[in-house]
Amino acid sequence: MKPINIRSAPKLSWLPRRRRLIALISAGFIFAVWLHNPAVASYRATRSVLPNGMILLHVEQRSLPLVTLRITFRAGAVDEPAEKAGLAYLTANLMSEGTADRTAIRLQEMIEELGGRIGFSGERDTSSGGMTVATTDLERGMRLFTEILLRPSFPEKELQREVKETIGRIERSKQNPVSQARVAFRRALYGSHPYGRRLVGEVDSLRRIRRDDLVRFHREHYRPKGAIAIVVGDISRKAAEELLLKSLTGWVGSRPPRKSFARPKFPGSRKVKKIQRPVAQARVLFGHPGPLRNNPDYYAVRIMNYILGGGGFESRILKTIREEQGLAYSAWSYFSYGLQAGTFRAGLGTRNETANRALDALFEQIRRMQKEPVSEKELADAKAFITGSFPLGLAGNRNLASFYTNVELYGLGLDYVDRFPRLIRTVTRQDILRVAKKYLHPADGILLILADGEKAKLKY
Amino acid sequence: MKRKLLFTALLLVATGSFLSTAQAFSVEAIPKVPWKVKEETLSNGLKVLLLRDSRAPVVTFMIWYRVGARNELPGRTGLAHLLEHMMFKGTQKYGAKMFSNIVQRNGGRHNAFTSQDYTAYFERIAAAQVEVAIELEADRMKNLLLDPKEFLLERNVVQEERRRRVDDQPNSLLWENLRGAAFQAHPYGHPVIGWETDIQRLTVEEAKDFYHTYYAPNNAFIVAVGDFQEEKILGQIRKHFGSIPRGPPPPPVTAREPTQKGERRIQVKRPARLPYFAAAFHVPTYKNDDSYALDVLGELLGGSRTARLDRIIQREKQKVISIGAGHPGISIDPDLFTVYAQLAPGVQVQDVEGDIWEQVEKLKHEPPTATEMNRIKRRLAAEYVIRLDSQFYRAMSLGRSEIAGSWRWLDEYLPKIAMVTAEDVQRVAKKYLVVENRTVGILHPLLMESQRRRRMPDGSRGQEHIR
Repeated sequence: MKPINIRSAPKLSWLPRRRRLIALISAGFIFAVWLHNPAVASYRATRSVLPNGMILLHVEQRSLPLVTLRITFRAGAVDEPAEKAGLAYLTANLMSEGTADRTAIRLQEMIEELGGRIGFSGERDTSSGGMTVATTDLERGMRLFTEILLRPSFPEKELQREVKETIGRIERSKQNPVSQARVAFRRALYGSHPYGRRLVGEVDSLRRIRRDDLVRFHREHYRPKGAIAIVVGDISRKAAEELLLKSLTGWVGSRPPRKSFARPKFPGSRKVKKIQRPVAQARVLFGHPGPLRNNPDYYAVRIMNYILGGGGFESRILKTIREEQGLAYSAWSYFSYGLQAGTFRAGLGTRNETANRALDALFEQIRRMQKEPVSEKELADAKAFITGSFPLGLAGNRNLASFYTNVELYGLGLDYVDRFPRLIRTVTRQDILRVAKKYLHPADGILLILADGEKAKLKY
Repeated sequence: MKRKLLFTALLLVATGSFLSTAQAFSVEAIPKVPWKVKEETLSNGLKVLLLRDSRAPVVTFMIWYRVGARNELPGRTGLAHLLEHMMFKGTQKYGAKMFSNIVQRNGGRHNAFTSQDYTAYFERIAAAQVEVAIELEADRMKNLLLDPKEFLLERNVVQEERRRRVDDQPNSLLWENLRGAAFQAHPYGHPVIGWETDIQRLTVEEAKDFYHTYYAPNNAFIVAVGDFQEEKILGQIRKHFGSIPRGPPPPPVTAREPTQKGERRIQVKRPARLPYFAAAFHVPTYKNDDSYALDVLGELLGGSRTARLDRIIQREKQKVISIGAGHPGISIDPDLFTVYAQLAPGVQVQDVEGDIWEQVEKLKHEPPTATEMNRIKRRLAAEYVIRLDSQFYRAMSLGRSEIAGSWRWLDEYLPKIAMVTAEDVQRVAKKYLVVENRTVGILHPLLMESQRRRRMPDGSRGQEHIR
């Protein structure tokens, strides 16, 4: 309709939304600015634990008359049975599709009449519900939010419709080579691990899901103990606490302990998976298991990957493949940090005829990271960006809610913002070389190539 | 503190009438000036719009050029966008890779975007470093290198961008073709990224001409939103941009689309899984007050989960997996009101198209209810305020409305929406959503390669669409 062409995928836009939040955590900030700017105090969060065991985080931001609330449960697609893949996603989507007292359409009307936003979302490791509403309508909004949170009815009719639509969305995603490649790559990389399937489920598993499954998932997993509630905006900490206590009286209980899964394994060599398709542009993805978020090497890895393929036009991958050779529009690498497993990924899109050349360049850059130390300037520039760009992610209620939810989810501690700059600054060139050798495995991972084979003449 | 009061006042509009659903959305409650913008024009014609936002010590700095795909000639489509890419390729002072390096090592993020009407560049950066962005933008307004070798490389990069965004995306191809059919005389008919046959023929000389014609202080303006002292940042802007001389006024775009004289229908046949339907109607710009009624009409038909198309065709009949309708947003020249649907597996386009027009006809015969009107107005007002949470969005809003006329439009928007009546909505439906003014586009999926080898496991595809 109105194709606005952004010159590059903005630094993180190729990441799924959740990954961007995780990447956000890994940004830094300028300590000096922090200390000398009084406005910064408003970034500060407080933490308390409510009697029912729910963690309450709070940040006061008075400049807009809005309040944002988000409750995150440590239960997502990894907690659903494999044969019912898509259950966590469906449960969240159907939360606002009917309550004991109201039909789906009536609920939607009430949300719109409220003049705010209420929505639920089911992700891989978590499920969450959120609300943004004017301060003056907070109580009204909270009543509606609570009704949806505690008493969803999951009507059979709406379930059938949602399943049908989800199957339709899976069909549509297959016509997009970018998502086709991504799904096949995930499957090859994770195998039977729950990260290996589509978040929305598969055609067969969706058809097996019954209303009782949703009722049970909600009853077992949407429980307050250990859940993370964050309130940001035009409200004091005391008022936020009272609001939650008052609205959610009697809501107690914890979710069952999480199953543990065997970590995805390295394939042992470079496994190549090819998909033949007459596309205009070949899609290439390479990756393998990576460290977890609580690994002390996280900070060195963050800097290493900025230099390799995470720093946009400053990264070696984009500089060589796009700027110097004009082979691709996007070319990148990143480490993602799921709660169950970490992953390294690199990828690009190039016309079929240049797929071999672009792949050569990609692997050359990965290997070079492991062979020689980065330059002093590269290291200094990376540190300056990572610490300097930190405050960008703290502007606005939404950003703050995401930031602190992740701080809690990954157990980083509320003083993380104070510790972060030092953790970045103490990383040395030798550390970068060491983590490149330890966490990059160009000869031991999954290489997925979606291309028009006749034109590409792949040598991989 | 003052700004907070203003936002509070504005929010009352969004929420003040919630006490009773039947109570009408009130015009009187709308404040006159919620956007506290400081506006200044330098002697070389460069306009500056400043809006303070001290929630975090960061600034969004943007420069908007009044040039986009709209200014391109046949055979040279994609030039504005390719020049946007070249703006990162070095100046006399800072070499090819310096721009990103300087911004990023100062903790900043940067990017740019091109549309039909504008080309804009931005930096999001710590407040203390904002002068870095100002200096770099001033430098490349005047001193761009446009190296021939870099140009050829970047042309290939843009071809890759097109392959990814358009050529391998059947729905995008349909939109591109639909706009091409709807506009016969006006440049809004060609894609911003350019036709693939044009991109490969663009030359560095054409880019130079384009740059010298359109990149001048009197054809641009600055938008800065963030944590700054207005006088200080103005001083920095004057220091770096002040000496750039005014350019000759660029040639105006004089093309006007003649009145459409009958329905046009196009088809796109590409390998795909699901049919896609889109229709477009010519509508006026926001200089015509019908636009506000068209906004409400778009909401009523397909703007939210309670909208009529969504409720009837998606929820009840379950023929689509997504459906929508809407006014195009603010633009310099008249653009299109669109209706679109992604069909569910197994559904035929003609079934859905009939249902859509049935809903449109129904609107022409009976006006929307008071409840619907109030709900839509509240939602639009609430969304307007909630989006202000984003500093980047505030800067985008200022830029886009200034391009199309004036940023002051942002003050007018909600009051004008509040004044729209149910009869207005009915009237604009009758006036614009008519067959003679309609261009319809249908994506007919061709069998994909993987399906030739193996049928879908669920067997639910609409095989009847395969030719």
